[in-house]
Parts: sequence; structure tokens; C-alpha cells
Amino acid sequence: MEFATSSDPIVNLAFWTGIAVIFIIIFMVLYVIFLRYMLIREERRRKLFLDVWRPILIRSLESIPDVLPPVKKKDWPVLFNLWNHFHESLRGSAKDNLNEIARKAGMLPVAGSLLKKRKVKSRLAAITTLGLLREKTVWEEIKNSSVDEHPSVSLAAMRALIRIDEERAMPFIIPLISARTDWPPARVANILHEASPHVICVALADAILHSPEPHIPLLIRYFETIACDSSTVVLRQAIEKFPNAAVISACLHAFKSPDALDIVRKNLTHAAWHVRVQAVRALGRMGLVYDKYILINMLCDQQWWVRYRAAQALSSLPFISTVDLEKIRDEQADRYAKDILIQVIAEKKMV
Amino acid sequence: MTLSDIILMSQWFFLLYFIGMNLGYITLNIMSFFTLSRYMQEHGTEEGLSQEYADLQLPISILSPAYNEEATVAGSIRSLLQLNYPEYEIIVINDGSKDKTLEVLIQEFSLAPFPEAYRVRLQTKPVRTIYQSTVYPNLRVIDKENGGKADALNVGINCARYPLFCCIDADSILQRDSLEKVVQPFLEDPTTVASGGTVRIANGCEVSGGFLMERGLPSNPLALFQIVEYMRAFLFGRLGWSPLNALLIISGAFGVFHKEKVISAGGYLTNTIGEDMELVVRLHRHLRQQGVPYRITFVPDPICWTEAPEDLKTLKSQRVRWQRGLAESLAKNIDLLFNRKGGAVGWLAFPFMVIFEWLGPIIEVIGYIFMTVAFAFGMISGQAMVAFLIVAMGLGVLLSVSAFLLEEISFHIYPKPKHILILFLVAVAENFGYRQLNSVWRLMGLYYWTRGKKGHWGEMTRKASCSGIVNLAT
Repeated sequence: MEFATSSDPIVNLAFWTGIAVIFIIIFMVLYVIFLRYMLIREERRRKLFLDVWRPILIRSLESIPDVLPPVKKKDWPVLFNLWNHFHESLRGSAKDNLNEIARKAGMLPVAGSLLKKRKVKSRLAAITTLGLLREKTVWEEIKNSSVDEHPSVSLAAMRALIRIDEERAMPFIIPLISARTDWPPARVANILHEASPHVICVALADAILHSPEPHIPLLIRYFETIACDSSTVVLRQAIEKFPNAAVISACLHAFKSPDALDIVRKNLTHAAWHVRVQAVRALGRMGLVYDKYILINMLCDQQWWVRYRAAQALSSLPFISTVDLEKIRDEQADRYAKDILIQVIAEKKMV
Repeated sequence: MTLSDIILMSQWFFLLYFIGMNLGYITLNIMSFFTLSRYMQEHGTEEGLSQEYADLQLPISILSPAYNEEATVAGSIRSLLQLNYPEYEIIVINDGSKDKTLEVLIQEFSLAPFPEAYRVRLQTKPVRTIYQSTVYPNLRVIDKENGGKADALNVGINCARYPLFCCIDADSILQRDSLEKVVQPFLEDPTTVASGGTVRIANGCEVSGGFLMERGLPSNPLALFQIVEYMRAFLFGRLGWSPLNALLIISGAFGVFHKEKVISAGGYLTNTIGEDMELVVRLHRHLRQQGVPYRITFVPDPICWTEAPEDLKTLKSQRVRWQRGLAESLAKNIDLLFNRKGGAVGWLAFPFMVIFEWLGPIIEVIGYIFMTVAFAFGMISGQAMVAFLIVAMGLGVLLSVSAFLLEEISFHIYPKPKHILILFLVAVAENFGYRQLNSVWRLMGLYYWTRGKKGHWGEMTRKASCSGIVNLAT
């Protein structure tokens, strides 16, 4: 019987694999230690830099110092972040002094060069600073960043464009907000609200009526978050132009004025249950006395959510008391209508 | 074929198996490296959102099944009530606890019976009473007959009012921004159907008011071993598969799902012990077969913390249970394996799981026994034995160290340099007994699986305030 020996290929393979693995482990451990060392060093340097610059920025709210300490290349991103943080937490004329500090410290040319860097954090800091400074000279560069594949970079660029020149930004931004599915809607809404309401209302209304159909529901949701005088008119036109369930649902969700009651009532029998849900909710928001009977009928809908929202809508009508609701409940022959009213009455009593 | 030929072939088989397995994990590691770098660039600088746009965030129903949790349930629910998220409801499902879980909940949260028009969309054991908190409008408690964790979760899904639900163990520790982070993939990609969060070990950390206050390392060696295991499992086991849309496990301790997609897949399976993994594998199978575009994804931020067992008995029971769950999940969805429509999950992740996780314990245990017996009887040389051990253990340490590297470029969970040193020593030490013991427990899990023993709620001896069911299969 022959046993494995060191001359066996298998032992050699195992041995040399093992040795290679040990070397890789040693290298990786050293690299981890190096990274941790660099992190600690970086933190220390950052703290020292902030200890110098934070008081300068605080004092600058009253007066701008004649001489500013020089900034090393590595410290620029820290200064940008600190400056951005200060700028975003201040209101009114205090910002002017900060802008002056930025110019005096030479942040503008540095921001321009940071825009070209690959590092996302550096680009984000630079874009934010240039936006806060309303720097028009870098419009094209920031516009290019607004189509960047990184959502954070593109969103920061969108915000910067709005801050620099909102009217010029709108024709470019509005198509982007419906096309970029990777932009979180709440964040987009947050940014849109930085524009003047009249500018954003006009731009969104135009987009709702002229964008491709699949984009309309999302645009309507943004439109809804901005209090526009012309909203009912625009939403009516949207329903006429795109009479599909998703658009109707979004419009019903957005209607705030009784002027739209005819459309709301018309869609109570829509085939899509989510449209009926939005219709009964809209009736709850702006319904008239007559609508009470419509909502009672909706308590027998085959969809649980329609029944539930209809019961909630009934209870939210200003002229319906808990006693009225209990009376309606007792009059119901349909078991589902009765059950859902029992639940909603219990909810109302708990509030 | 002579005996020496058989021994030689076996040696080659075990050696190549260990190398193949570790090369697979190293590939996942490299993928994780790029994914994590990109993730840190994209998400490392985000600021919080204004609450006034809550309407545009997706509301979530948090489902927290509880069984005999009288000691911890109130604290856990209090911490859930403090989460930073615009719109969410908490549904606690008391799965027929034998202790005073329900009484504690009634008293602590002023619960009152509530006449809810309960919709049965998934068949479950009967619901006894639905309670509504009179203090917290977004808290409901469902008292039901005992039917297991999966059945409790199905009841929660029936009661959930929002389009997304988050399953969470009643004793997991979250961070205030955990929900915001785990729901992010749903906002970034509308085809997302499930998203899992990273679970880390809370032993050794300071927990107060249901939240993690300070990170640290435990002194218990078993807990330390599990910290290294969790790092490996989550930092590249999950993260590596995620960009391929081939993630097969979302921990039951913390995951968010698209409710309608789960209902159309049939909800949680009640006759399996690993209901969390089974659901994810089944979602893959269903959606692949239907040809529906979807994503099942993973959030690398450490957003859920759980207490690891510190005694051998509890740890053994946990690992046996997890291996059974894994075997059941894969066996029940075997159609996905090399399925024509299987994509990366059917052609890469599933076979990988079958070879290295499902059958892994058998090969590992036989490998260790074979090499030891062969060495003891002089059938292989000392050099061959040493070389085998260097490879097997060296690769094990390499994987752990590469997880530390991923940790170092991302979250720096353990702040002190001495933590790195301790964890490195643990990564070496775990190869001398702990890993082998784990393989034996997993083998026992496979044995119980073949016997078809009925599953039950995982029980654990707690020192602090948390635990979790987190399959570590990578």
C-alpha cells in the first residue's frame, strides 16, 4: 500500500495553498490595521481642523475676519461639509457673511475642481456648496451632475440647480423627476418645495398634461404636495386626457375642492377597487349631506378596503355623529356593512 | 481499485471540496466589496427627511409574533413605538402563550377588545380576540390559538393595513432609523418585493430602553464566535448574492415584504421550521415562474441587534433548528434548482446552497473523521494531515478576516483597535473545535429533517433582552 508523501501532488497542492492563504491572511490583517490607523489619524486631523474652523464660522455671523487660516488639500471636504451644515441651519442675512467667508477662503475654485473628482462624497459637498452660493458660472457642470447615475449626486445637483435659478431649472428637472425611478419620492418632494410655489405649480401642471402617460400618477402626487390654486382644473384635464385607473386614482387622492365632486361621484362605480377607495375617501373629505347615502351604499362593496374607507368617510363627515353612525349600523341588513361600521365606530370612540 | 486509490481519491475530493467552497465564498466576498463600496458612497451621506412628506413614504405594518415572552415583550414594543418613521402600525400576535404575555401587554399598553372586521386572506388557527391600545392608536394585539410562528405571522398579514409588512422577532433590538433604512430599496426600485436587514449580536453591548446605546464585545467565548459568524454571514453571505438578485435568506428577525406578493405566494408555510427562508425561496420560485420582474434585496447597514445564546445547549438547539429549516426550504422549492427560468438564483445561489450548506455538514464531518482515522491508522502521512489542516483552517480564517476588512471599509461597528485584535484571535480559535461542533449540530439538523420531526417555537435562555432566529447559512 502506498501512502501519501510530501512528493504527492495532493500534499503539495494543499501545502502551497495553505501557505498562500496564510500570507493573504497576514496581508489582510495588516491592511485592516492600516485602515484603522488611517481612520484614527483622519479623525484626529478632522477634529483639529474643526476646532479651528468652527469658531471662525460662528464668529463670522457677526464680522468677517481679515485673515483666514490656510486650508490643506485634504481638509477641503471637511470645510465644505462644515460650511454646508452652517449654511443650511441659518436663515436670512447671516448667510451673506458665510458666503463671503467661502469666497475669501477660496472655496469656489476648489468646489469647481471637486466636481470633477470621482469620489462621491467630495462631489456631493461641492455641489451642495455651489448650490448654496447660487453660483451661476458652474451651471453646466451641475446640470451634468443631475443626470449622474448615483441618486445622491443627481438629487443634490437637482437641488443646487433649483437654488441657483429655479425658472431655468424647471424645464430640465421636471422630465427627470418622472424618469428617475431610483429617486425616492419623498426626497424629490422635499427638494421641489424649495422652489417658489408658483414656479413649481406651472411647471408641474404643464408636465402633467404633456408627459408620457406612465409618468402622470407620480407627477400628480408631487403636484398634490404643493398647494396650487389651479389644481382642480389641471387634475380634471388630466383625467380627461388620460382616463386610466392609475391617473384617476391619483387625481381623486389629490382633489381637495368640492368643485370636483361630480368626478368623485362618477368614479364610485369604477371597476378598479383602488379607484373606488380613493373616491370614497374624497367624499369623506369634501362630501355634502346627500353624499351620506352614497357612502352608506358603498358599505356593501365587495372589497374590504372600499367598505372600510367608506365607513371612515362616513364617520369623518362633519354632520354625522357617533349616534348617527350607530343608527346607520343598526339599519344595515348587509353583514359586511354592519361589521365594518362596528369596527369604525369602535375606532372613533377610542380616539 | 486498491484501498490506497480510494484514500487518494477521497483526499482529493475533500481537499477540492474545501477549496471549492472557500473559493465560492471568496468570490461572494469580492462582490460584496464592490457592492458595499458603492452602497457607502450612495447612502453614507443621506440626511433625514422632513415629516411633512410622510404621504410619499410607504407605510409599514410591523408584525411581531410573541410566544411566552412575558419578560421582554413590553420593552420591545416600547422601543418599536419610538421608531423614526412617518407612518407605521405595530401588530403583536400572541401565539397562545402559556405565560402572562397577553396580560402584560393588556396592562402595559391599556389594551381593550376591539371589534375588527377581520379579513381571512390566509388560512390560520382561530383568532380569539383583537385588542387595540387605547393609548397608542398604531398598536394592536391579536390573541390567537397556538399555531407556531409562521401561523402567527400569517394572522399578522391578515390584519395588516399597509402595503408593506415588516416581520420582527418580539425581542429584536432595532435602531430608530432601522425602518427608514430597510424600506429604502422599495423606494429606489418599485419592483422590490422583499428587503432584509443586517442582524448583529447584541451580547456585550449596552442596551437601554429597547435601543442599543454602546457597542462592545462580550466576554463569553460562544458569543464571540457567533459575532465572527454573523459578520461573515451578513457582510458577504447575503451582500454577495444581493446584486445578482439571488438572495435566498432574509432573516426572520428583521425583514420587510410586499404584502400582496406574499399573499399571492400563499403566505408563510406553517409546516416548516425555517419559515423565513422558505418564504424567500418560494417568492423567487413563484416570481421567476411567472416571469414577473422583481428584486429581493439586502441592506448592509447594521440595523437589527439580537442576543446570541451563551450556552452550548441553547446554541445546539438553535443550529439544529436552522439546518432543518434550510433543508426544508430547499427541499420544498427544489423546482427552482436549474430551472429554465431560474436565473442567477436557480443556477448559482440554489446549487451553491445545496452543495455547500445543505450537504456541507455531511461532507465536512465525514472529511474530518476520514482524515483523523486515516492519520491515526497511518494511511496518510503527518505532512498530508498538516497540509489538510492548514488549508481547511487557513481558508476559514481567511474568510473571517475578509469579513473584518469589509467591516473596516464600511461601518466600524467595534470602535476600539483592541476589538479587532480580539476578533482576529476568535477567528483563529473558532477553527479548533467550534466549527467542527457546528458541523456536527448541522448534521443532526439534517438527521431530524429526514425524520420529519415537527417544528416548534425556538426557545432560548436569555441574559439581556433579546434573541433572534437568524439562519447563518451564507
